[in-house]
Amino acid sequence: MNTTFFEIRHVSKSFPGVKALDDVGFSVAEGEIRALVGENGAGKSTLMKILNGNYKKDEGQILIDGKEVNITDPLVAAANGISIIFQELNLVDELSIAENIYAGRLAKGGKLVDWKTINHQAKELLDRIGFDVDPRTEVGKLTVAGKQMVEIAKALSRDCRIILMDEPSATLTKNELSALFDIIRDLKAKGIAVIYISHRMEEIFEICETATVMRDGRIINTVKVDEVTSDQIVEMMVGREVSSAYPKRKTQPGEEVLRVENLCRKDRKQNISFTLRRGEVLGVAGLVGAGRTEIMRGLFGVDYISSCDVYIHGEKVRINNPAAAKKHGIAFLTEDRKIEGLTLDFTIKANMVMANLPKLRKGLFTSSKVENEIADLYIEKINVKTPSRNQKVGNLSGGNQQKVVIGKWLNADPEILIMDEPTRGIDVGAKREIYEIINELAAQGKSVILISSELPEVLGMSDRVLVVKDDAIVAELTGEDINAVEVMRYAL
Amino acid sequence: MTLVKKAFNNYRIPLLAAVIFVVMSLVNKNFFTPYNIFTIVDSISGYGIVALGFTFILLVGQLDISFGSVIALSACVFMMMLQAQINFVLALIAALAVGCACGAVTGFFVATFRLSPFIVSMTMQLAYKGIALTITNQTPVSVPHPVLQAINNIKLFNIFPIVFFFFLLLAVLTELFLRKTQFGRNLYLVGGNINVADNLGLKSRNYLWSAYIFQGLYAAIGGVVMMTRQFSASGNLALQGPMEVIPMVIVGGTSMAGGRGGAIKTVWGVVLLKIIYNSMTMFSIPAPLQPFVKGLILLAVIVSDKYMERRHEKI
Amino acid sequence: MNQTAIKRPDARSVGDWVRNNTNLLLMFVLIIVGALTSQNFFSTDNLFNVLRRSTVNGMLAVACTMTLLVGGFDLSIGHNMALCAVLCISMEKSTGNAVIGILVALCAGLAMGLVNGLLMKLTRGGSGEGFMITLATGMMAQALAKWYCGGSEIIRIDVPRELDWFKSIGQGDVLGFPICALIWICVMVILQIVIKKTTFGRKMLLTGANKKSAFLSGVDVNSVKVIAYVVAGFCCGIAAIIYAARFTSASDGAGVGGDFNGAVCSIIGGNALYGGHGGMVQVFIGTITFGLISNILQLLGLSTAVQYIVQGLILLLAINLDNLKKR
Repeated sequence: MNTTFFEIRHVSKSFPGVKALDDVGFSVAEGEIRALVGENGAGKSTLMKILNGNYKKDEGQILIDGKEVNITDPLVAAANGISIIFQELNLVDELSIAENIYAGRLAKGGKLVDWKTINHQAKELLDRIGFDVDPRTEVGKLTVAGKQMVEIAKALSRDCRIILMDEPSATLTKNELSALFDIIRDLKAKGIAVIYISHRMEEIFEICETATVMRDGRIINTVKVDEVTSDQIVEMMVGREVSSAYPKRKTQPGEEVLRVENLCRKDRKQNISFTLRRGEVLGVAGLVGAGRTEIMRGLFGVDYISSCDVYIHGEKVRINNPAAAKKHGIAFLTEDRKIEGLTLDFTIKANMVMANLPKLRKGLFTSSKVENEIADLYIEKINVKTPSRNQKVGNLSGGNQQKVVIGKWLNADPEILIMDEPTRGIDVGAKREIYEIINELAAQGKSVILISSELPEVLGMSDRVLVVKDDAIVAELTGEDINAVEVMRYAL
Repeated sequence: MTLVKKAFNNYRIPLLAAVIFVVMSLVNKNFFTPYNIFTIVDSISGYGIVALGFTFILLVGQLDISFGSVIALSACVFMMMLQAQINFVLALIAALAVGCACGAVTGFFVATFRLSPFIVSMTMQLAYKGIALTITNQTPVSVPHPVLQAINNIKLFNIFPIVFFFFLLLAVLTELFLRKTQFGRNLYLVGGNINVADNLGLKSRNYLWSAYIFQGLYAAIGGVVMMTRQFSASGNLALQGPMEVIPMVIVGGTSMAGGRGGAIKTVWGVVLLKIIYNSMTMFSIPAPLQPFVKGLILLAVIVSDKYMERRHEKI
Repeated sequence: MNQTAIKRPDARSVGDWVRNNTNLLLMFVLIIVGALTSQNFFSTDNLFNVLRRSTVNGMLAVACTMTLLVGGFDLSIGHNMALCAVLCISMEKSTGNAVIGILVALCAGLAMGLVNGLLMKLTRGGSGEGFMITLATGMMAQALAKWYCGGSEIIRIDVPRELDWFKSIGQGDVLGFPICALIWICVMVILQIVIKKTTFGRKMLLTGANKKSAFLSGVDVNSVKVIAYVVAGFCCGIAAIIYAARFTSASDGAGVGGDFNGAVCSIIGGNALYGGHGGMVQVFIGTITFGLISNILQLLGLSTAVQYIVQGLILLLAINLDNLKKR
């Protein structure tokens, strides 16, 4: 019992501009249930993708039973007994449960597929994890929980020795979760190790024995769960100097400019209400998938919503598409700037003017002189580093692309800017510049809603913070309450 | 109750075909007559076989409109070889080889260069037709070959032509292949979710390519089967092929998005549409307007399919 | 300071210019080939002939380009034109008034375009949906045309003297220059101005290049698409009038291959398949290139069948070039 069989040593991985993993190492014993925790961007997903063979590690070793294995693709990972259950499940909706479990190995050596046997074997696997369902059911008809069960069955069918589960609880109900825990305990009894990735402390304390904490691509500590408190783990997760990186503002928020009441997305039960004041930076914190972006998409008219009362300067307005939102002085910098924010194979100037085309018009026609002036103005104003306004936006760096998106919206003269993850994938220098732009906007009396998964950023920049969890605003923090522990307490 | 519901869900198209068949038999005296049944059954085999081939294309989530010309080209090659007194079997093999080659070329551009399947197949449609017209010198090749006539004359109960049973046999074999072989299942996997297939280490590109080769093969078989009825091929044969075949496959229940469908479903789609088309003639809808109804059916199928898929999106 | 600073990324080398203008070069190569092929090639007669014969395809290419620019596709343009031409001729025959015929053709084209556009809106479609939807509507348009003709070609036997002006739309010339080509060029100039110099044109290009970012910047992408399809339908109506005036007859088969020719002219001129890039200059280059190819093949005495093959190969080459440019 409890022999160590799986070990990672000194694994590092860099992406352009970011060191995603820095000398990561830990080991797992048979039948161990290990929690892997860390903020968004701490490096957990990168590590998983390396173990699954989606990414190549730059340095380090992965050892199984003391022997080094070279995981080049998902097949090799499976052959070595590593199974990973991603949040984006690796299933084909159109096919049956049984077929998904045995996909790619239904029949050997040109024989015909024996569906009877396969369905029977699948049924046995499903019984083993206590999932009572006909294996001939189409996967698309299952709930997310059901699909997760199928993934687990798939992992078992391959005789795996270690299963990594990426936030399996994010979409499960209480009953489904306790069923999942029973399965995990069952796996443990069979000697299979489970690495359980989750943000939720109560789950970790219920099911896990040990916890490895990651932060900024490094392993901070590995602890026995019954020897620490949840606050201690949270501290390890967020423990970082907060204030210095963020320039301070001197201005104070003024009168209310935006009030949102009863916002509810299509086919959901939610009731979101919040306000925004002039010159205020309103932070929106919460875990990835908590529903922060969706609230803003609903407000901006991108997705269908079933209800929402919006008041701007106390006056009720109707926003059912982005054009209407823009007319009422709202701008939305989306989290996916490459697809939703920019047209990558157009020039900087074409992107800069796209949110305010009427400004180009002189008489009947558009004026390229005006277009050039607008482009030059914002290239200068927000310091876009480019040799020319005719450069294709796709050729710019992430930081400069984000600046073009900001320029594009400033050209539309908004009062309210919703910024969704404005600094994601951007190097430190450009981040600082974007913070300064935000402060300047606030000083000019514009209001900013700042959504970010980087907690320090929300804490450092905001006058007020909303915490979102499970599609609802669970807390509104001001003044001294704006600190990591408070936010995490509500968000987890 | 649930059994009824399940039966209804799974056998919607055959049920609909049966209902129309029964209603037509009751309403129109000329419908349920040996001659008319023969007309319906006789019209099924040729395009029916091609539809089986097109099922492969949709299963992997692709498109192809060049197969009309592939039918013409392989039929022309077949008839020219018969005309040149070449052995029947050799001519048959040559025709099928031409079909496969055409499919392989189209598929190569789509799968390897990842060019738009529409444009590639539109281009190849023209090229294949051009080749067919060139080799036939733009005149129809008519050969009342004894073997073809013999095949044409064999009818069960004087109603069911032998090629109809060949079509059914081919459909069953295709269904078996799709349902029971690893290769067939992989086609579904690639069509359903190409990322999952890649993650399993499958060479998705080759599966896409193979679907086009199958399509070419079935188009060639369809072309030869048509020859057993009309003994004459030209470069303009099966000009309306795609318009005939695409609705059959989609109505049968093979999804345009890929990963869902099958050969037997296609058979029912063919049968249903042929019954509907025949009914149009029975109700003396003017012949020129019949393509209009066919277009309308195609449109209804596509628009409702896409609308249901995207009704929650604003753009 | 250092060399990289001096070499600006948007400075163009000869190689870049060649890569960006393969379509234009193709046209010049064909002109040279044409000159070498036949002594008659450079006669005004032959060149105007090429131009005159190109206008119907050219108008269809304009229509196709409008839908390509917004990221759609239109396969119904050929049959749409046939339907409009049939209506135009038969209206003129029954009323003796060419103006009514012209108006009916334009309205029919508009209506077809509107139907296509609304269906695209309903399905939130891109080029794939456009392809399938217009395949069906084209088939329906042809069926209507055939039904309207009663299956036989409507032939105007006597063109009344007072309708000579109508014939001259397709057959006449001003100072030796074909009137139909003049109409075609006017339409292209107007649309080119719309595309390049108006906010609506900008919206079209944004929609075609990336409909998500366009939508999030406040562009009503669905309406832009509908309008583009309506304009395409209108252009089919104009093509039908030129066709009717040139042949003084029309049949349901008039549009067979028209969709393909329109798309070919647009694409070999350099318009992108997936929207957002291109315009009418490309249509002009493409149409002339296509016309020259047919002309040269004809001067060489090749059959139409061989012409099909050559045209297919050239289109394949063109879309490969399009693909290379994107990379």
